[in-house]
Parts: sequence; structure tokens; C-alpha cells
Amino acid sequence: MAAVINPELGRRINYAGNIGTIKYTGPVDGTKGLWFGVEWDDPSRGKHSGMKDGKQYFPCIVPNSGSFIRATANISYGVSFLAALSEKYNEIPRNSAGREIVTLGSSNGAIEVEAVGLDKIRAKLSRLDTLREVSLDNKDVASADNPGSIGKTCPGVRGLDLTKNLLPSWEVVAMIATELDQLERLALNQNRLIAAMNTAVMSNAFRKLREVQLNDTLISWYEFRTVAAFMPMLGYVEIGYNRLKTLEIPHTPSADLPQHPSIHTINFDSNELFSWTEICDSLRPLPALERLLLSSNKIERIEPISNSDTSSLRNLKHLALSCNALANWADLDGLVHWCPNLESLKLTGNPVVEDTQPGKNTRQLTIARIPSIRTLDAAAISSRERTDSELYYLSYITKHGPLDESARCIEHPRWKELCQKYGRPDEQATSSQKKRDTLGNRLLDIKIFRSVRSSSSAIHSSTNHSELPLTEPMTLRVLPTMTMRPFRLKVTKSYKLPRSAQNSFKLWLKMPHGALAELPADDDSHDLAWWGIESDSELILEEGE
Amino acid sequence: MSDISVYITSDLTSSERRISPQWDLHYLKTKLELITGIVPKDQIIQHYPIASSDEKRIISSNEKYSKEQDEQIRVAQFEIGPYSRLHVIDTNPDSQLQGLEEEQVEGFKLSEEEYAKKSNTVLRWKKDNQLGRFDPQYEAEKQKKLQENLKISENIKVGDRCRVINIQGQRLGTVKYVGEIKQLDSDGNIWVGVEFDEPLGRNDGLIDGTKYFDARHNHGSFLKPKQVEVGDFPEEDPFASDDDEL
Amino acid sequence: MREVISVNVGQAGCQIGNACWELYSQEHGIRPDGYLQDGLERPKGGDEGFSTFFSETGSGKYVPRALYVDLEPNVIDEVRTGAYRHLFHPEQLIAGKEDAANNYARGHYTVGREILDDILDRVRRMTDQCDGLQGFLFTHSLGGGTGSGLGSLLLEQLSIDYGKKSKLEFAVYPAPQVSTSVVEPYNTVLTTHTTLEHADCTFMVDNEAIYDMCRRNLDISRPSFGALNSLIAQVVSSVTASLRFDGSLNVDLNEFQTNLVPYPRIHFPLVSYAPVFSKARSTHESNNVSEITASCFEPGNQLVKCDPRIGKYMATCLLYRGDVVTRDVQNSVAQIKAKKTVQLVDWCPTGFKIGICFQPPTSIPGSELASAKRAVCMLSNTTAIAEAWKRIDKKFDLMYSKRAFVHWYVGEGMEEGEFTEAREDLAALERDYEEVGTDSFPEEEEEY
Repeated sequence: MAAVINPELGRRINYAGNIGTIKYTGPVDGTKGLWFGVEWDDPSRGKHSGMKDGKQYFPCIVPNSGSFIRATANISYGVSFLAALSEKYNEIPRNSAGREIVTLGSSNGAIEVEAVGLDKIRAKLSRLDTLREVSLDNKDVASADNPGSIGKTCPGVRGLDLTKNLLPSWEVVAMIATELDQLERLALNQNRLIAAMNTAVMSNAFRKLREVQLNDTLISWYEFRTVAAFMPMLGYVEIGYNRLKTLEIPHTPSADLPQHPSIHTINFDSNELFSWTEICDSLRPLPALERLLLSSNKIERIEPISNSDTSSLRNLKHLALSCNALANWADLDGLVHWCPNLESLKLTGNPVVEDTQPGKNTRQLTIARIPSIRTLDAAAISSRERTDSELYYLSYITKHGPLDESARCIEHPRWKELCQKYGRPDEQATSSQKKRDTLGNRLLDIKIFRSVRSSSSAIHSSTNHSELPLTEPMTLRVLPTMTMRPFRLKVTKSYKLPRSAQNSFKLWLKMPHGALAELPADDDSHDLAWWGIESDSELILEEGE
Repeated sequence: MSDISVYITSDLTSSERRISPQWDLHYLKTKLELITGIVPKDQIIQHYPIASSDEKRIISSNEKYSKEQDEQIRVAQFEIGPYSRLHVIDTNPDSQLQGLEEEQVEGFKLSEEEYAKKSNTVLRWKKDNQLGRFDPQYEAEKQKKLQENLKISENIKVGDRCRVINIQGQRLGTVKYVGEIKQLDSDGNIWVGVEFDEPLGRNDGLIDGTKYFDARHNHGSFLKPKQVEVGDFPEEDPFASDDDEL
Repeated sequence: MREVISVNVGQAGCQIGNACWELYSQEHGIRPDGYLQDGLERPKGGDEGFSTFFSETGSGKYVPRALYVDLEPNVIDEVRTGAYRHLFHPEQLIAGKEDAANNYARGHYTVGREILDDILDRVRRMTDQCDGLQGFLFTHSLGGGTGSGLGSLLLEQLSIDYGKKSKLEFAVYPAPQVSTSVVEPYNTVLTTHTTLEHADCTFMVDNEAIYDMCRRNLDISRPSFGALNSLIAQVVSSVTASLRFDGSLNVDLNEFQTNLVPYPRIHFPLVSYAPVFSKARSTHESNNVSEITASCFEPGNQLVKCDPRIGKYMATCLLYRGDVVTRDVQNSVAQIKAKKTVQLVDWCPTGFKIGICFQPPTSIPGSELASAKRAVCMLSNTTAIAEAWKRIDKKFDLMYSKRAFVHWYVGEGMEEGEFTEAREDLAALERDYEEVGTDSFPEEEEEY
């Protein structure tokens, strides 16, 4: 690299919509004039890795993301925070009498789009002091403003989006944030921030920050932890698309970083992390972690852990592992010990659960192997589904598992536990046979008499049933757990009564000693057994008026 | 025992329903008929204890069908668990369900005249309000557009260099054909066939079996005259513009 | 006051209603028990806004202006016992005892008619509490018995009783591959025929399109009804946001019709929504105004499967919500790059309109859908939606050519003539869409 100290080095630029960082200024062999060597944020914009005709002019973090451009007027070096803010939100009212027209793209000028009342929006948003949510994404923000001016202009900001800007460093971010007393949420996606830290500026900048997004910033885990040390309230972190392969912390004397006791959610979506054990070890300083999102990484294995108590994820409740490379059920068995309190899991897109052949039942097997989860792939698991899945798993083991008991226990760690819970599958058939028999036994045979209607009098509880004129009885077989409404429906059907009669007839239960008890028609909260109906009970049906 | 949710499937349907263990089998079958369209006497009911698995058992078949017997059987006996699946098969080759999937039938036809007679239609609205082709100016407007098109096309000759600009950007090429294309419209409109310098066209000069001009594969397109700007547009050298970036 | 009464009919209607009211409550700062969240003095949305959808009782409790109607008790029982049971007054939940058995005729003539008076009575009691009723918002399915039969019966009656009040519908269209009963095509055609002249504007929701969206954008391999409904609710909320919250235009219910429906029968705007992304994903895309606007022109963001690129547009409303400035909206619209030219019907007054509402979308805790800072919902009256009618008409013909299952309907007292009458009306509707699509002058930009 050319050893020229140049004030432009490290500066962020926007060149015809492409954002990059100046990594070199000077001549290039074989050409005339001055060049800027640029590393582009979008690697596909690059032409090489800072090398020309065998000579390395500057290094690229991402291979092939560099090129040389001329220092022209087309290069934008960005604007200050307040300039961008007022450019976006201070729109001049158009006094357009309520109506404004723009032409729809893709319509060859044929379609005019009308908007009404936009001045109302402008008027509201232009009161910068009342703004709570501010998005300045892709606005070429490069610097803070005079100390105090940001806080004076927009003191109410709770959420700030600074995605895709020209901010050079964390120091500048801190200079902006430190003036926003209420700032709770900050998005810094698609920036390239130099880690060099001015502790004095940082220390007070993020005191209320709860949420930070650092997607596609190429930040390392070490840099993140250094920055997060200045965010005492931080709970929610997105750190996706950062090409992270490792969460290793360099062994430097200053690597003595504090814990992050308030972080509850961390999202590593679309990185290149591959070592589960390293991830877990690295998350030890996040004791309150409840939600860990690792979608689209390169995890191939979940190594076993002997003791859950030593796991850094023992309090984890939610885990997303979609689109990784997990290929073996043993990985999920490992998960049980790493995350004993796991409630929800996302696992789609891993070879182990790809339903290549129908009937592989990967959902059931996953549910059965991980006893704590209540949601899998965003679908809730009912208690019945759990039972079904575990029963299925048992029969699956007997069909496909090793015959040797100890080998079974290794390959299917829950085998013994599930056998205890449900009985061994080979014994199941007989036990369910028994159950069916007992069910048959449990059905009640109830005799029903129909009272022959006489105009003289209705039945009372004191009526002696032995004196009533009754028809021949009909026997109904019902479950003792049946409630009154379906029971009455059944009676209606059996006697082929008109539907309308369903609510008008009365049912009396013959009590010992000749008395009668009326069974209320409208109480559906108890079953027949509760009403004292047993096998061979006798009922009297009295039709209504 | 309370109602439970189960999945009911058949070749044509799939849904989540609630059934009661207290029902008798016949009542269940009548419910299944209303969902699947399969009448009780033709039903084979398969129970899949786990909705998505292949394991199944037949809980009722159409052989020896007897309504009276079914009425004596409680659904509770089958131990159908929540979220398990009941699959119903139609055994009758002549049932009204057969062929509903693939068969082609003569659909309902509403003739032009019948439609024209109706009172509350878009056609009537257009007529009543002289909209579209019922606008007295419509034909004149159409002719005007045609003439405009013709006039523009008079300045376009085969062999001219040209430029086409649209949303996707600019494309350069050579005019290869000017004239009517009956495959595209029968109104006598003039079309321009262009061969682009790069493979950014739609065809090779062939449209519906007729070759109007020769172009390399995916280099040719047919466009309206208005879209084609002729003039001095020399072919660009893709390697020429590296002066300002290395 | 400009009150709107929501009427949820049938299983799908009630379940979608649940998802919507959960979201509305959250958006307005109302707890599941109907009282305000801690720290709020008034519901969000301003008195004018929230009171279109909620009424306030003397005790400071807020009650949805909503009615749940189902012919069988299960779903309503879930509302009665669910987390939001205290939000509703028992009078608002009407359940029959006997279901419609997927049969339009039962919902419309026999079983449904029995509880009609009861329903109308309760509607009357709710409208009596309104100062300036705007109209009704229906949610129901087209394929189920209660949703189709009773839903259309209610619409008919309300149109008699409340004359000019607007009636908008969210209607679940039977998914082409996942059919819940074999007679869905009948029910759909019959109910569409009956409601065609009573509904002012119908937003269709095709379960299959939602299903695909869940799979593609939310990484849910087997979406449950809950997942589908919470996505539908988000869209319904976006459509109604301009009624409930302050913004560039304070829309009245009837303005949807005024802006979107040039001819009364052509009242089925296609709904698109963006962004849809999972909570498990990081905010990689910035989802800025121009990206979400462009997404709305992608078929993957539509709630009904059809191809607007081969249709012509009559009218469109783009409803933005959340953190958007007018310049971004105007620029995005001006620079929209659809894959094919957007073609407009040029022989009748048409309109493309923009609305902006300040309230950003909210996400309910149990939902997989991430909350975005901004969202857009596009309502387009395009001829492409006629594809949906063609699909269902074809299925109707397959069955009706053999008179399959017609006896179920006749058995409930329906005349067979109603089938042909309904089918003829739908055929005329297909023709209507064809008529809308013709007579526009050929596009200037064409390439073959």
C-alpha cells in the first residue's frame, strides 16, 4: 500500500448511487493523473481486490469489491445529520388546494396519480421538534452538527434509522446519539463504521438505547461487544449479513469486556457461523438471552453437552436455526441439553427435516425428541399433538431403532423416559385392547319409559312412579360422560320426536323409594354420571304441552 | 367428553372440523357426506392417528353397509384423537363425484344476444353513456392514431440505425423490417422489426411461423414506430469506456 | 362521529374478526379487557378515529362495534372463553345450535333465517348507539355454508333496513387447491350473485395466496389458520387505518366505493400488501418507500392469485402508513418500474390515488410477521381479478352439468332455478370484465 498520508483516506463516498470507502489516493502505474482506490459496499460493483498489474494498491475486506475512480464532482461526500433531516422532513407546503398530481412510472405518462391533503402531512412532519420516528436511510449522512443543535432541533426522537449512509465511524454516530436523550432504537444497517473509539463521546451516547440494528456493517463480534459496553439498557440486537465466521475475541489485554446483562434477543441471520459450541461459549456474557436467531448460517453439528447447568443457553426460550446444515437427529438431542427451557424452535431448511420422502414425519420426530418446545416452525404444538408425536416416536424406534437396549438409549435418548410415560410399545397393543374393553364396559344401559299422556295431571317430584301408566321401556346405550343436551338429542331421535319437541319434554329419574327427580333441560355443564345416572337407571319421558 | 378437532380429507377436499365422540357412526357419516360429497353407503373411512403420517387403519368400510348397525356404534370407540385425520374414500365408480377433477364439460354459455339484452351490465352502461366504441368520436380517434403511426413509420427505412428507450434502458440496433404484421393486429398498423446489437430482443425475426427478417437468436423484436428513434447511433464498443474507471 | 360496525359471519369470518380486533386493540392502546393500557389517557387515534370502531362505556371501558354471528357454537365459544372475552358484551356474540353444514341454502333459507330476527335486533341496538353510522364492514367466507348463506342474507337485509349506508366486505375466496368442502363452488357462486347488488365494495382474500406468502416470506412451512388470519388481519387493518387514524385523507367508508368502483358491479379490487417479513429475519432490506411500492406491483404480494400484467386498471388506491414523507411517496410512484407497462382503461373516468396515515403497523406478539416502520396497501380495480371468477365458474359447471349435490339445496327449500340464475349472473360478470378490458386504445409501447 502506498505510504501516503492523505486526508481523504477512509472517507465514505456516494458515487452515482454506489457507496464505498476511499482506501487509496495517488497514481496508478501505466496511467496518468490521480486515482481514488475505492472499496465498494456492494461487492458486485467492484472490479478487483485493489490490485493492478500485479501491484497491490489497497486491501479489500471483501474480495473483488475494489476499483479505481477519478476524483470528479460526481463524488458526494455527504451532508450533516440536520441537513439531511431538514431536507427530508421540512417539505414546503405547496398550497395546492388539497390536490397534487404525479405521473405513474411504467405507464408512459398515461396515468396520473392524485393525492389529497399532503400538506397536512407536510405540516405535521415539518415540526421537527415533535418527531418521534426518524428515518434517514440512504440520505448521505456523513457527520454530526454543532454540539447542541441536534438536541435542540429534534429532542423527541425515539427511533432513528440511519441505514446506508456515509457515516465514517462510531464516534460520529455517538455524537449524533448523545444529543437525543430519548433515543431507544437505532438502525445502522449497511454502514461501514470505523471502530476507533473516543470513550468520552461514547460513554453517554446510548444510555437509553434498547434496540440496535447492525446488519450488513461487517462489524466483528469483538467490535460489537466493545460498542455494546456503552449501551447499558440494550436488549434487542440485529447483527445479520456480516460475514461472521467466528465470534472469537482477540487475546489482547483490552479484551476484558463487561457482561451485557440486559440483552434478551440477538439475531445473527445470514452469517457464516459454523461452530455451535463456539457460539454458545461466546454468548456466555449475555446471561439474560432468551431469543437467539441463527437462520441461514453454516451450522452442521450441535455437539453434545454433558451437563445443562454449564450451558450458556440454559435460559434460552426461542431459537431459530432455519436454513443451516444440520443433518442428524443427534443434533436435536444435543439441543435438549443445551437449551433445557426452549419453548419455540424454527428448523425449516435443514437436511435433517427436509421431507424428501413422504411420511418421514420429521415434525413429529422433532416434537418427540425435544420435550420442552411448544411451538415448532411457527405452528403451536397442542398437548395432543405432543402425545401423538411421542407415541409415534416410540413405535418408530421399535421399527427402525437398534434392537440392543443400550444402543437404543444412545440413539434415542428419550426412549426410556417415553417407555415409562406410555409403556413399552410392544406392550401397548394389549393395554389399548384392555382400554377398549373397559370402554365397552363403561357404556351405560339406560331404560326409558314414556309416560302415557293423561289430561288429568302433570308429573311432580312427589308423584309415585309405580302408579304412573307407562309404555314398554326402550334401552339406550350411552357414555356416562355425555352431557344433558346431546343426551336429550339422542332421546329425541330414538323416539322419533319432532325436533321442536327437543326442548319441551321433561325427563325424570326414578329414585329409590318411588320418588322422581327432574333432570333439567338447560343445564349442560354436568355429565350423566354427575346427575346420578348409572347403568340400569330408569328414566321417564314426559312430553310437553 | 367434549368435541375434538380433526382433519377431514378426501380426494377433493381438506378441512379442519370438530366431531363429537358421542355421535354414532351413521351420524358421523352423514356429516362426512356434507363435507366430501360421498354418501354413507359408499364411504371407506380411514383413520390416520397422526395427520401427516402414512400410518392408518380403516375404521369403517362400505362392505356390509348397514345404517342400523352404524347407529349402534359410538364414534368414541374409534379413539380418534384431536388433530388426527379422517380420510374418506369414494368406492362408487358411478358417483356424482367421479370425474370432477379432470373432466372437461361444456360450461355455461351466455350468448352475445343474451348478454346484450340484460339491463344491468357494463355493456349497457357503455352504450347508455356513449363510452368506448359507442363514443361517436371513437372511430375517428382510432383512425387518427393509425395515421400518426403511419406518418412516423414513413421516416423509418430498412437499414437505418436506431435507438429504443424504455424503462429497462437504451438499446441500439438496425431496422430490418417496416410494414404490417397480420399476426399482431388486423387494423393495418405498421410495425418495425429491429435487430439489436446485443441479445436484448425477443426473437430472431420470426413471429407465429412467419419470418419477417433475419436476426441472430434473441436479437430481434417487433415494435411500434413511435418507440423507434432513427439516427446516427453507431454500435458501442463495450470495451471503450474504461477511461474513468480501472 | 362516523361509526363503522363490523359484522363477522361464520367460522372464517369470526376467526378473522378475532385476529382483527386483537390487532385493532393493540393499535389503539386498548387491553384485552377493554380498558386502556397503562399510561394512556385516551385511546390512540384521536376521539374521531378510534370511536369509529370502538364505543366507550360510562366506566371507561372500550367495546368494539362488532357483531359475531355463527350458526354453530364452537368458534363463538372460543371468543367467549378466549383472552379477549371481556372485550365483548355477550349481546355481540350470536351463536346458533345447528350448523349450516357447508350448505348455502341452510345458511340463507332454513337455519340462518331462524336467527335472522335476533341478529337484526342486535344490529338495531348497535346502530341506535351511533350518531352518524357510516356503514358496515363484513368478514365472511364465500365457500362455507354460514359465511355464504347467512352472510348474503344479512347483507340483503341490511341493505333493506339501512338503505344507503355503505357495505364493504372482506370475503375469503376458496383456495383452488385446498377446498374445505366439495360444494364450495356452488356456495361461492350463489352468494356472489346474491350480494352483487348489495355490497358496495368487496375485497377478496384467496387463502392460497396468503398460504404462499406465509411460506415464502415468513418461513412457515405449514401455515396454520392462525398464521393465515394474522396476516389477513394486518391487511384489513391497513385498509381500515385511514378510517381509524389521522392522515392525509380521513376516508369515509363510502369513499372506497367512490374512488375504486366506476360501475357498481365491478366492485372487487385486488389487494396487495408490503412488506411481509419474518421476525426471525434481520432487517436486511431497508423496506424504504420505493421498495414497498414496487413490491405491490409484484404478484407475490397480492391477496388473490391472478396476473395484473395482463389486465387493465380502472382505479387504484395506494394507502401508506407509518414513517413516510410525501416526497418519497410521490417519487416512488413516479419511478415505479413494473415488469410491464401498467395499462389503464382509457374510456371512462379512472383514478389513481394516494393516502398517507401516520400510524405505523403494529405486530401482535404471537404473530410471525415482523412489525415494519412503514407499510403500503394497494387496492386496485383491475380486470385481472376476473380470473378468480373464471376459475370458480368452471368448477361450478363441472358439478352442475351432472346436477351433483343439487338435491342438498333443493332439500332445504331452494329452487333449482336459483342455480342457473346465479350462474348466469356470474357469466354476465365475466362478460362485464371483458367489456371493461376492451375499447382502450393500444398501448404506445409494445414489443413482440
